[in-house]
Amino acid sequence: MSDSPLRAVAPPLVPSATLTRAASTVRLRPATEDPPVLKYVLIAVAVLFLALFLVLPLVAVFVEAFRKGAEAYWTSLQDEDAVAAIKLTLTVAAIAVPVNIVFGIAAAWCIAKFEFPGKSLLVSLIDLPFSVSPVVAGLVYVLLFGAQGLMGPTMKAYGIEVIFAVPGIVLATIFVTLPFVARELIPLMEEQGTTDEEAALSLGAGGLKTFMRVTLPNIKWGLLYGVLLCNARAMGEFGAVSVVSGHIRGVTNTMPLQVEVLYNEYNAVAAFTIASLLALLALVTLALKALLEWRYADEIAGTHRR
Amino acid sequence: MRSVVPGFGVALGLTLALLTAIVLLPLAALVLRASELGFAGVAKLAMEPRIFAALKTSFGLSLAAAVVNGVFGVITAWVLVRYRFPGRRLLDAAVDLPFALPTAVAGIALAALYAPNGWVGSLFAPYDIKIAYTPVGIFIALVFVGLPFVVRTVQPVLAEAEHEIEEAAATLGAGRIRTILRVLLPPLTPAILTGVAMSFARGVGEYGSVIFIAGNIPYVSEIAPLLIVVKLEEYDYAGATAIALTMLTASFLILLGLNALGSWSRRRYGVVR
Amino acid sequence: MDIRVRNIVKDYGRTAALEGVSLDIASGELVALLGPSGSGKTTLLRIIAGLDVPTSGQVFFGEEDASHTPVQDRNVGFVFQSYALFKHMTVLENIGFGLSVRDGKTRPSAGEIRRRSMELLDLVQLSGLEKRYPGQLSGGQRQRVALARALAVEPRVLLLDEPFGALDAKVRKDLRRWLREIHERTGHTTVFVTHDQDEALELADRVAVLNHGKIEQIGTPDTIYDRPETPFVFRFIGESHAVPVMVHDGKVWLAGQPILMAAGGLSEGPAALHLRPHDVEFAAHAGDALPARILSVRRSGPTRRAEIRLSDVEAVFEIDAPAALTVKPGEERPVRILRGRVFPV
Repeated sequence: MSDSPLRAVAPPLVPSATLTRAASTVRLRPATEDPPVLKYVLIAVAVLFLALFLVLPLVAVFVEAFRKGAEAYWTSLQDEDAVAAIKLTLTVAAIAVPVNIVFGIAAAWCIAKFEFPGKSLLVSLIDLPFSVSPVVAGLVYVLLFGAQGLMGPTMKAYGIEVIFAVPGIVLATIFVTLPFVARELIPLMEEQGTTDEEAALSLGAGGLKTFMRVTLPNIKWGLLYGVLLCNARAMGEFGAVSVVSGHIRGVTNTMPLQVEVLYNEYNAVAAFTIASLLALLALVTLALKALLEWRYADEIAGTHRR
Repeated sequence: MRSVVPGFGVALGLTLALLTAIVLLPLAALVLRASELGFAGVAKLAMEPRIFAALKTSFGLSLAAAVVNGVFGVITAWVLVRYRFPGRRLLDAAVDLPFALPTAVAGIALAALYAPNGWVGSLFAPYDIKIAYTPVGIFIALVFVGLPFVVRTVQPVLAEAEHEIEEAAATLGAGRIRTILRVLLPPLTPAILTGVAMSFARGVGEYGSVIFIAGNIPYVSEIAPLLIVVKLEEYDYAGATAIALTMLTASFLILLGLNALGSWSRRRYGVVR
Repeated sequence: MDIRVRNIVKDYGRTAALEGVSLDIASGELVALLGPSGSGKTTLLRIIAGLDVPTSGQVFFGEEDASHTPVQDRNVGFVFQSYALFKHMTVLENIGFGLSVRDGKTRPSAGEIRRRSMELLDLVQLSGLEKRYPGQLSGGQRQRVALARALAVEPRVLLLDEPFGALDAKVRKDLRRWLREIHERTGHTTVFVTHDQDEALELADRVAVLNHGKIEQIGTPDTIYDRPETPFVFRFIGESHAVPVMVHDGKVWLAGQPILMAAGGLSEGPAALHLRPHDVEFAAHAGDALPARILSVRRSGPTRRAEIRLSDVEAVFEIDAPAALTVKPGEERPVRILRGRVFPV
């Protein structure tokens, strides 16, 4: 019934022994693969560069902290001023982070879910604190609330101390961390659009209920990601806080400021002891961040997916 | 077009209120203070030898650090995107260390490492080379804080680059190195420049990681943000304001340049898939 | 330049993409590699180009064993499905790229590169667009630039991966005709990959049908369409339906009746009769025809297509009915089988 098969194959013109030899001598590389020498040189350059500039300082922190043994480490940790600094840092973060969450959600909500004139200007303004030097961020509060500041005398008359006091530290911290949560949520919420919310509303859910039951679950990992970065910066901020704090031991010294004070007093072990706590915070932050990027890749903003 | 989604008024109101109170009003105070000085006044203060020297140190060393970060950042991004090797994920996570590690901690760690008796400094001390407490120390601290910017802007662009572009170059006879230089790197230019500019802007404003290793010698290794602090301690608000305004103007111009760069490259290359 | 592919095997880990493919392409021929996705057709094209490395087997360009020649030295023109144009280069720079990356002696002067690029731009009918960037071109224009770029290196063979895959129907048809013309003018040995049977049949001198990493059949479009050698080729090219039949006594039996077909070479027992809609017609009276019931009728171009069920076997298939003939659903009407192919089950 079927035709005889067409001859698709002609006999090879070259003796097969020649072919086998050629096949065993050369290994072809796929076109987009780099020569191994280039590959290993570049990996070595990157690893050495990162090890020298990033990892070595981190290692140094812990080595210096334990230079005089574990006992000295514990003594430095239990120092009254050190404990006060830790408490103040936690307090500042406990105020700054929630403010950031509120601001971030509100900003992302109006930018991602609505169209309005001046939107791109608002986006630029939200990013502004990232392009201002932390020292300048501190300076503007001194100019506003300081003894010779615009509102300083008025505030003083009412007995409100901002500069060289905790409120100034909190304000400066909020300033430098303001974009973190918003920046994380805006692209994420833009990606998600408004269809989920519209569906919930059409099913009869109220505005608040829609937010709590539909929007929030959609953005929770992205929000956590933003909070993580915001918290790390809030606890570690140095420049802005340094300008407004006045460095009063046990009162207006946060952990980074206490590090500075101790280091300048040549009390290296104590300085590195507190620094090691902050370094630990950084490591935990990085680990959680990597975990979020790996585990919840689809639920955080596009730029962090690998 | 009106949206059925509620909460616009509340959200926008809250956003604007916080933004104004925390960021815009205080910045306005700075501008107001500067306006009392006038343009000529600010310029005169900025040209004052010690301030000028500090601005030069900050801008010059930041530029140098940003360029070095451009080179090593691109190599790092390339290695992270293109190669698979043990420890790659760890290396990738380590890139963010300067974002996560408080600047003061980085500052004292770098100072301890590069001091004449530190791990790295002691290697150079026998040759009479000082790193910490000189401009070289500042440069090192600025490389540290600026590195992630280049890696993190180049990485996603590189990851999205079409494989077939390289294959096309190969079928046309281009060798590997030539393919990298002529086909792969040029489209990365906007991302690289953006990363370098961000690294530069961060360097100009950097304070915590620099002051411990800088030595802070006026006219030699004193950075502009430190001089602001010094001026404030001397109650020289005018001087502090002049330095701050010069720095703000510079970072504003950098941002403007970045936006122009972005729209130029979008116009030129379009969105091609 | 003629190309011979010998026993190409390509394993991706455990799964085999190609299981010993051999293929001869004559100089100046235009050959289509046709198959469903996952059939290995693109892998075969990439192995010919040197973009993929086969697990075993050889590729010959003329007398030369090119199996171990890196892609850069194979001198092939490859057009990618996504075109893979260099976005940061103008159209002219894209076309001239292959010449400009040649080594010292063989590299033409800048003026010569420009002259040849302009010539090719003219060939692909894009004169005047040399200063544009790929982002400023339409899909069809990009496709032409990609072809001009591939032709600029004076390739020994032109390879195209789904050349019209990303274009809309109208542009596809135009470009098809145009590619045929270019091929006739330049005379390059050309291999292209497609999953579209119309495209393969219309454009190619010969078509190789691939399935599961093997070539099922290779031949001219007429051979492939009229004399498919395997059930897969029959099914993949054009519409077809299969009806269970029996082979007995050198005859093919359908529903207990011998039908007009010799069963030469087929072994006794159950087999499958493959039919195209025009292989069956309505018979005027019962006679030697098979009783059938019409299930539904719908319009299909100039004719009507009737879905029928043979009364004595569980077989539903579609046949073409002349527009002049009145057929209604539910009607009993005998059919006669004119042609068909019987394959062992």
